[in-house]
Amino acid sequence: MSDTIFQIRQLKKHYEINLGLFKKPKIIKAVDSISFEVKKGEILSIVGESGCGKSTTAKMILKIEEPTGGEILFEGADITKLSGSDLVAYRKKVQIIFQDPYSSLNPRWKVGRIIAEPLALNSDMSKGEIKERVLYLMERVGMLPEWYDRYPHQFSGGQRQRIGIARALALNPEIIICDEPVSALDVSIQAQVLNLLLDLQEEFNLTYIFISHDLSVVNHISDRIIVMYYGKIVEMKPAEALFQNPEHDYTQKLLSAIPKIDL
Amino acid sequence: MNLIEVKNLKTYFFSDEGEVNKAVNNVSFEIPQGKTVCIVGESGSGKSITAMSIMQLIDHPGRIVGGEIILEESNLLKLSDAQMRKVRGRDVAMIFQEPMTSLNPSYTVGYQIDEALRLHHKELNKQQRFDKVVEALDLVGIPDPKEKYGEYPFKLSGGQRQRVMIAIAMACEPKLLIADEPTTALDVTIQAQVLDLMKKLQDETGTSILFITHDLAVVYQIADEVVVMYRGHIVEKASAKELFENPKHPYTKALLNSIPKPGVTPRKSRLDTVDDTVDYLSFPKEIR
Amino acid sequence: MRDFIKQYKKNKSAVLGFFIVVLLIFMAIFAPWIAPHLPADQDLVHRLTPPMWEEGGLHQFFLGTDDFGRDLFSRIIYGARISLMVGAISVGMSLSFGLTMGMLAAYFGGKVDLFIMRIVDIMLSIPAILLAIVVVSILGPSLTNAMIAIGIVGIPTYARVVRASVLTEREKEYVIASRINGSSNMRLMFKVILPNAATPIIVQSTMGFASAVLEAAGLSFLGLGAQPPTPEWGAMLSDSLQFITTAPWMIFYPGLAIFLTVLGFNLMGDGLMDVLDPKLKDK
Repeated sequence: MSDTIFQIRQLKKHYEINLGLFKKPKIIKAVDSISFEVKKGEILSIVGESGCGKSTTAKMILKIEEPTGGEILFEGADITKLSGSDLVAYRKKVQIIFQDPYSSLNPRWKVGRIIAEPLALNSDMSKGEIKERVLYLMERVGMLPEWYDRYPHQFSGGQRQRIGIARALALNPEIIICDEPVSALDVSIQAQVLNLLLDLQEEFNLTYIFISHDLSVVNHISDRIIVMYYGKIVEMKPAEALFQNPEHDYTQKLLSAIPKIDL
Repeated sequence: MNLIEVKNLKTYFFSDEGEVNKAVNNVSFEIPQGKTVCIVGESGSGKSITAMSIMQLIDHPGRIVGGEIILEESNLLKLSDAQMRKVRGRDVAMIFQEPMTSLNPSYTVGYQIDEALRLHHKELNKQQRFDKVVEALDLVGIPDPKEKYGEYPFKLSGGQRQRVMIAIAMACEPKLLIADEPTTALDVTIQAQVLDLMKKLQDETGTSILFITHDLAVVYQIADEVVVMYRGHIVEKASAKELFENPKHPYTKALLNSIPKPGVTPRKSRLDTVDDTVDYLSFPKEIR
Repeated sequence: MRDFIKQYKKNKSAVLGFFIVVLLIFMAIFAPWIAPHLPADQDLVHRLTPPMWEEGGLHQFFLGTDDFGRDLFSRIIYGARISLMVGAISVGMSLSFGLTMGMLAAYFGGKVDLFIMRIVDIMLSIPAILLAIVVVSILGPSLTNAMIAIGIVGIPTYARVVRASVLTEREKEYVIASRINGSSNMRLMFKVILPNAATPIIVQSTMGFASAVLEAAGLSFLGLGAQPPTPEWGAMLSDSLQFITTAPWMIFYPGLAIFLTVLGFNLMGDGLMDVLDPKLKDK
């Protein structure tokens, strides 16, 4: 399987809740032994409602959280064991776009610095080279060069998401984890950002792991969809097949609950 | 028969530097008795401010500068504070988007519903009120209503809290329920339940609903009449059926096109978007 | 920045506070040029002279003299230097230790947090003045030791303020973004989080200045701070107690100086809080 870049096997994340001195702690299985693969160049969506474990899974892939069990293999190597230059290399290849355009950008930094940070920390580029790349990225995501010296609070939600996208592209990653990137945006801005993400995917041959609760959006852009419920994968299928023929009860319930416009 | 007629409503916001933000700029529409009217628009369209204006909850630096809001013969904008307070909660009730913050965390659920009754139905005694609260909780689908009376909001889920909000709103059997994005913060399956609940309540009590949202798909589910707002103006107004089958205004069309419709929109196609360079207000308003 | 100034100007009392502080700084810097006499110069012939406008007052002693014939006005002006120094050094000390402790506690959480905050709790459980007195008694009465004492006593407040502020920011996505990109802990703490957690710290420091001045005056009043002939306002009060009926100006004007200084910093701190806080709320 040469085009499989991620192999996730029996991934687990458990949290312990301390109920007091004399009771056994309660265990919450945020992610309950899930397994799946991610292929190069695909858009794989993980869909589910709040608490299903999709965000936690993303965090483990990004090494923001440590798994309680299981493996995450990236190009064959276990990412939990990465360190030093391998870790840096991993970081360069796997990036993230966050959900909240308001809290995902440092309010005290200028836009230029925000986008430049990954480069400043992980590359040998000179200041001038970094600035050039930042301006290029800004243009690519539809931002004006004047915005380089502005602060995040001067921009709208959609524009801030673009800043976040530019930052994610800075190190020329192969995989981008999109954690509900359009959920906080107005409908028409959503469309613009989705279009941008699709364009960028084609141009840079990116692989997306797209986390969302919005099935209409997910159906529109995904190759394959994983449905999660209470920490488990209940269904995993190509997008078309999932919508035509949902097998699991929960998937069916989810699909029927989406307000749709059928004309 | 129209329950509410909004005529030429203007609500402006005045900044210290003398700038005026015409948040609601000459807006007119009707809310028929027993029907659901949806105001749909994006951020900055003025939809929420319109709702707040009807409830007269507009504070400095905003002010209602013109127009009329007629509720069964009387113009709400001409009422005194005391009179308006009687209207709020009893004739017109409102529920909000964030169920986490719109309930008072320090008081039990039952107390908060009871409060609404105490304010507007002074003729009821304690026991009668208790029964009504339990009835309200049951009506909105909260299981074990008698036990839930004494629960604090933090123990309930988002969907349950929203139901409690609806219970508080419906406790006094208002003529109009204003719902400002009540399901936006909820999971899709919970959203479906809450929308069903609202429809059911409308059928049972005949309450009119003014539903504010940015989600056209939700509008499709529940609206009888639709008002599309853009930058403080109404750009299209029609019955729900007409709007979706035959949208006339370019902004409405652009909004509809920017939503991917499963099965219809080709997968991975680039969606049409609302064009930033177009001045949608230059097109004639489509009022039907 | 311009926005900030404009917002700040709206609050009249805050502007007043600002001017008082500026006046204070001016007095401190230009003391040798403004003060008609040196603070330690005695003129025994003219001891206990009332202020210029009163009966028996002399124009060369604007606010009168004390029991050693030293010009009150000059001593008050030179006193500004001392008060500012006290404020700056004590706050500086409380801030550096408090900031480090609060930041480490909030950032690392867990056992580190527990350990540091327990120390803070212990410090807080002892009344400030009492602790200051104990410290000074151990180190010996002097202005320097008073400053150290006040500095130590102020640490827990800053630790708490910093901790609360950092805890809020730590969970935000922009911090996670920087961490993912390989930011080291130090960098995260001081370059990423701190600029965003600064507001309450700035406000606290401004008001802390005021309490430092007050505490120093208190300690000097008790004889534990500035020693004669240092023109520290609190010491001046203490020395003048016996003359309260015969030469009330000796108490009144230093007292007024303390009052105005504390007022000035508090008003400024209040004003800063009003301006900085709502502005930083996005959405």
